[in-house]
Amino acid sequence: MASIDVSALLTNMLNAAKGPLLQKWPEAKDYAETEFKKIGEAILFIEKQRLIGKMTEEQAKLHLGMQKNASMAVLLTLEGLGLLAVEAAINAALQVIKEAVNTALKFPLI
Amino acid sequence: MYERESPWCIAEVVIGPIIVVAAFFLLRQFVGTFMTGIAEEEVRGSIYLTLGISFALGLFIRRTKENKMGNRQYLPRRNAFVIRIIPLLLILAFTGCASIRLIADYDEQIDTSVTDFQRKIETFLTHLERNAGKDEAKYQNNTKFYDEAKVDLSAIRVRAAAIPKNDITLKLIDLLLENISNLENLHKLGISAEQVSPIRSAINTQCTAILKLEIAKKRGKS
Repeated sequence: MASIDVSALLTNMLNAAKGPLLQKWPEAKDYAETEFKKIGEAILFIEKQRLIGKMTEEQAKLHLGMQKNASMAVLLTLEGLGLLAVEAAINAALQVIKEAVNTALKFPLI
Repeated sequence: MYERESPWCIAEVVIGPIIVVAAFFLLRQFVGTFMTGIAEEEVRGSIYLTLGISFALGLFIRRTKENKMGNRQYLPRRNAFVIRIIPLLLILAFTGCASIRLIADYDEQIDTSVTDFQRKIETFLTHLERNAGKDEAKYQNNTKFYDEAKVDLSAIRVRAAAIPKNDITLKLIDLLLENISNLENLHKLGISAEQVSPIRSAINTQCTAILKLEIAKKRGKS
């Protein structure tokens, strides 16, 4: 029975887990930047409308409430994307363990 | 050697498998919050494998190093039994843990329904923009839209709530419902053509957020 090299196993697990996390961040970052930019422009517009008297305080509050909900939606989606990335990382590491154990034992225990 | 420890030997043979199986299902409940469903064959296979390994290991774990007198000492059977359980439970847990799930799976109906909803609300906002200041755009003449929008979102929410680990999508839908109420209140106060733009931006951001997450749940599968 081949022995399992624990330090090599750990390195492989970390490399496997790192991949999905690094891969997902640029896409999440682009999405967040685009959406927050739009929200920022909308808030600016609301402020201008209020300053020139085209929007009452009550209207401005409702408009800002909508922008706040939109911001929360973006943050929630980022949280979801983060969970998916963590899930992929954990599964990648589990796969490494599975392969190492099965290789060492020379039969598919896991 | 074995005559003196016969009570522990009998206990191990009878109680051991029961403890291992019971502990497996308890552990599975705990781990199961992260796992997808386990097939029956996997459970049975895990149990048989664990029992087999348990008895095989029992022959070896009891042996310790030779003491200073050169005599080999044996770990008491009860201690060997306890020590064997822990790694075997871990093996069982991992045997069932081929993969974990932290968030719900993709649902095509939610994807389609939210896309349809976005189309419906865009049609409405375009109608408001085009007819701002006219009777067609007054709130009293458009209450049907709000009723239908709330019903549509409620149906999507019910569907999302039926899927496990879908809390984030549920919260996203609740935020969209809240913004439909905000839109309705704004409409009662009056919306000019130019003021439709930030509303459209917010609603589109929310629909995009729901769809982006939903599509990501495909996890790379087409």
